[in-house]
Amino acid sequence: MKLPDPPTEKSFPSPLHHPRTATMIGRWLGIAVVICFLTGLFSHFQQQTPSWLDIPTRPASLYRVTQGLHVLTGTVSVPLLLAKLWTVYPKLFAKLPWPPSRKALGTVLERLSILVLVAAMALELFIGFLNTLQWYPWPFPFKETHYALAWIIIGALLVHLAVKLPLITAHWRATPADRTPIATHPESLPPAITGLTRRGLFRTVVGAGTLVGIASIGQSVPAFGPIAVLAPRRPNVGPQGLPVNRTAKDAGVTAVDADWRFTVQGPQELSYSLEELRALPQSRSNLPIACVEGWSQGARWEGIRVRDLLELCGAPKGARLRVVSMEKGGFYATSELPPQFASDPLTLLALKLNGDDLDLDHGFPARIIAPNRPGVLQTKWVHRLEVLA
Amino acid sequence: MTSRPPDRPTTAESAATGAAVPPGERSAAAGPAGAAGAAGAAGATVPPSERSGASGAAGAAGATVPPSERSADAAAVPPSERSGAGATDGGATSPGAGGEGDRANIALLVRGALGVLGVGVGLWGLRLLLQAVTGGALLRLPLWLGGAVVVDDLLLMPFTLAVGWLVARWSIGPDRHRVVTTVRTTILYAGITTLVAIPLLIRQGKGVNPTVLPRNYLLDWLLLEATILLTGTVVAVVQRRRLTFRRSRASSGLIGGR
Repeated sequence: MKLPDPPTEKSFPSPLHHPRTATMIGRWLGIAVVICFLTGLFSHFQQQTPSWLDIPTRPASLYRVTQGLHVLTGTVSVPLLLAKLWTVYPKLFAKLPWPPSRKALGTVLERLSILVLVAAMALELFIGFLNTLQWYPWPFPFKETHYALAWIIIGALLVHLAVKLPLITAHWRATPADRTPIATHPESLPPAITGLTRRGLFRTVVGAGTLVGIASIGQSVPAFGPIAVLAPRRPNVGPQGLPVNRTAKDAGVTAVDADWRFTVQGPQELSYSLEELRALPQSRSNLPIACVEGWSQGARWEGIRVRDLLELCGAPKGARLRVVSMEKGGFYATSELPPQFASDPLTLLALKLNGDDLDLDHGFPARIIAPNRPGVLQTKWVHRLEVLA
Repeated sequence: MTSRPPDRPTTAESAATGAAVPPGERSAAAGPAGAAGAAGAAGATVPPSERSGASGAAGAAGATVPPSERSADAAAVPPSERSGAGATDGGATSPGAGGEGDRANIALLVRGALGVLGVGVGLWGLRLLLQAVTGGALLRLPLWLGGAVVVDDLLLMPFTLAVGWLVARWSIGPDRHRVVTTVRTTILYAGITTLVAIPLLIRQGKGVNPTVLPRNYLLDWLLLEATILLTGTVVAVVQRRRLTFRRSRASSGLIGGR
């Protein structure tokens, strides 16, 4: 018995496998990738700030927007990437040039760069989406791998653009051919009746992206929460109407003793009981919790301005702060507040959330809340502030 | 560089010259009702090529085979789609003209710079990766990368193509041509939303705390798919009605088939 021949580039008769469709869908995917990369880079710098960079404290909701966009563009990239792969799929079966020549070498290198691009991107989107579910079934560390793959993707993308630039410029603009229906099946009725146009394909792809986007944006935009059927979070589900990333139990904080003290280590040592903290002048901030995993929710916080505490202990202007949690272990048991955040009037040592004492899962008895910062740095269960400089 | 898409059937020129193929975007709306009738007779027509869209030009082109998409050796790219405006695209006319040469050089320079930058950035990423992933994990990472390609290229794509082929075959049946676009789009939307929902469905109830994955994702998914299918069905029914209505008016000769 003879096996059927393997497919070749010619086995895919649909004229929609065309450089024009690849260019068009590639543009959208490119835009999504660039937004995703830049917002991801911003998030990375938030958590590992290089010395040359001062993260601004305003707009207060900046991180909420950028990280929401990061997860949204990543999710929407799933249908875009699939559409792009579909468009160029016949090329997978293109014959490798033979015998070896300079041109053949170029072709091989180009196809290798595409292999890198596709592999890195598919895995990046996959682990990124699963991270929003806090599901890590792979053997490598998520955060570092996600970050390294992002650079590899951008590199491979630049190489891809360099190789395809002539083709891209040649097919950049819309042509009347975009509107011409094409046959989908040899025995079908004429294409004018049954056919899909390139424009029709573009619309379908945009529609798919929009559908996925609308069904998941609700984790960052509470108004869309009820229809966020493809989102792993609902912004209003959780104690006190706010989701939780790390519960007190996970953090090893079980109960808070009656003799709990909060201390500030600076030029003067300060020490307060919870009652004494409550007796200090209280301020209010309306600030969002914006998680690296994309969900976010606004909330009303009440507590003592960190700025006031710094003044009370006689810290110099422009002091940095280390925030120490009662959390056992973990990367985020301590965090640092750069000077601009420590001195910001919105930055609080919060005792209350939405009118009530903090829930234990939200950091009772006290937590940090600052504008334009990722949720993982809004340290919970704080029991000590250390003035660093 | 390989970038040769499958050739368009060259016999298409003949079909393109026929008046029955409007360049119109949406066949459902643009096609004259007569076309539906004529269509049966013209069953064997071949798709119009690239050029048919370019109105009169197609006729003028006569029997020539379009030079389209013979792509891209470094500097000189023929504009594959010769639309009226497209002729000035992309630095691709006769070689030798002075300005063209400059443009080609600049293009080459830009491409070279992009390529070098890309390799540099990629290697930086690789360095980060080698710092972050070590030991056994480093050995298994290529399996995950390869797995991602295998799932895309050997699972999702063939599946999509197979479904597309089935839909196209199905569309040959009577009265199906008007709704095939809707059917195709509906299946695609149902497919892509299901793909995204799979991890949510698998992890349902296994969130690390009650605020992760708090929804009933099975119910949500069923509702979402039901909504997509229902919307698709309504659109298809409306499209078919419109067709029937127009055809009856056409056959009655009331307003010349319109």
